[in-house]
Amino acid sequence: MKLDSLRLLLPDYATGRLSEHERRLVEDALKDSPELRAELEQIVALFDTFPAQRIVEEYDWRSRMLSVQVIERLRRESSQKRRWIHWLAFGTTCAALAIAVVVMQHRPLTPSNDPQQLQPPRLGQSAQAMETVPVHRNEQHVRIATKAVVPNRAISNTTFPTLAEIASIDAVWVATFPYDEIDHQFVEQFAEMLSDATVQ
Amino acid sequence: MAARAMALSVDESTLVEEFLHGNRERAATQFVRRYQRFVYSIALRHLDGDHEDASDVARETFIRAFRALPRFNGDSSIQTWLYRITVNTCISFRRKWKKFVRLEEVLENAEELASQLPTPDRQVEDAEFLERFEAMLSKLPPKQRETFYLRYVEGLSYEEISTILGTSVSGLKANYYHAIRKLADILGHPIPNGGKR
Repeated sequence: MKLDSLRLLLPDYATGRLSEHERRLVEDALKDSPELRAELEQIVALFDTFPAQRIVEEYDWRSRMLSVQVIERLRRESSQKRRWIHWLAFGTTCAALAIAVVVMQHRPLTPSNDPQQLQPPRLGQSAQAMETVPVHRNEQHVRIATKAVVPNRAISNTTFPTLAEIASIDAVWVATFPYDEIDHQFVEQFAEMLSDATVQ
Repeated sequence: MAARAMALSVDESTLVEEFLHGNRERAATQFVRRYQRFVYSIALRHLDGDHEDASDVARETFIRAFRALPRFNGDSSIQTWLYRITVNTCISFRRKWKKFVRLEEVLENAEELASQLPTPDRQVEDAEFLERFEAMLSKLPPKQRETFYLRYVEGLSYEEISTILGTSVSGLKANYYHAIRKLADILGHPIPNGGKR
């Protein structure tokens, strides 16, 4: 092996990182070359001035707080993400409620063709009697469940749902909202994406 | 898992799997402890020896790494992967982050750090030793500096360094040798040689 190639092996020889074969080659060359021996001495002196182990220890010492800081930040981000998910679920619920209210207010109510049924209920008539009001509603939960007396007002055949009806609908909707069927992983990823986009 | 394990040791694969499917926090702690020196020292060299900036970048590097870990396919070692993330984070840091110093975060950590500071004697000694080492390294060309650090301090194989730096193994051996020659010159103990400098 040429002397120049052997020179390149000297640093690894000094740190004991050569293969057995390479180590023997270097040792053989060192016996015959005072120049190589002088080079090796200087390399060893440099390594002794800055021992790798000491450098490793100093960097370990300097960076020792990183794990604590990173874990702390991960926890903080995780709790922020949970908060995001809660707000997202809350916002979705509110939006759905608002849409439900708007839809109910603007849904055309089909009047019956039967003139008998066009009669408005008498004042003081019970809510049971309201089922004869000429308004067709398919959803079971839209009906008012209360036995309360209908307020003293005339109900025309084009009446929109009352506040009591809307409240009843909303309560049923909220109670039956399939929260457990939400794809939480999707919501979490969506929140993370939003969070990343906000940060960037 | 099989695909991910290609370039990873058993320990690394276990750590990644635990992070993804097991105790996330414990795995994250082990992960950071294992690579914190490596990441911190890379950041330090790329940020002109500013220790505070290096800490910030190292922290951000791990956060980015954890976010990307589910997509890490294991076609390189974790060190190679982390090296790239760290260098990219340093570049971003130089560009943008300096503008947004997070004061409240600094204040939050100040008290905790203060309780764990080394004694004054050790501080001075550490600072002198590391400052001299870093000042010496900073005089090397970037490729030689990285090669010297990764080979001498981290003890990586030439093949690993070759993957990280994209230089041939023979080129790395030459870089390492010339880095040592220059360092010896800087220290005032030039290495005698048959002409090559």
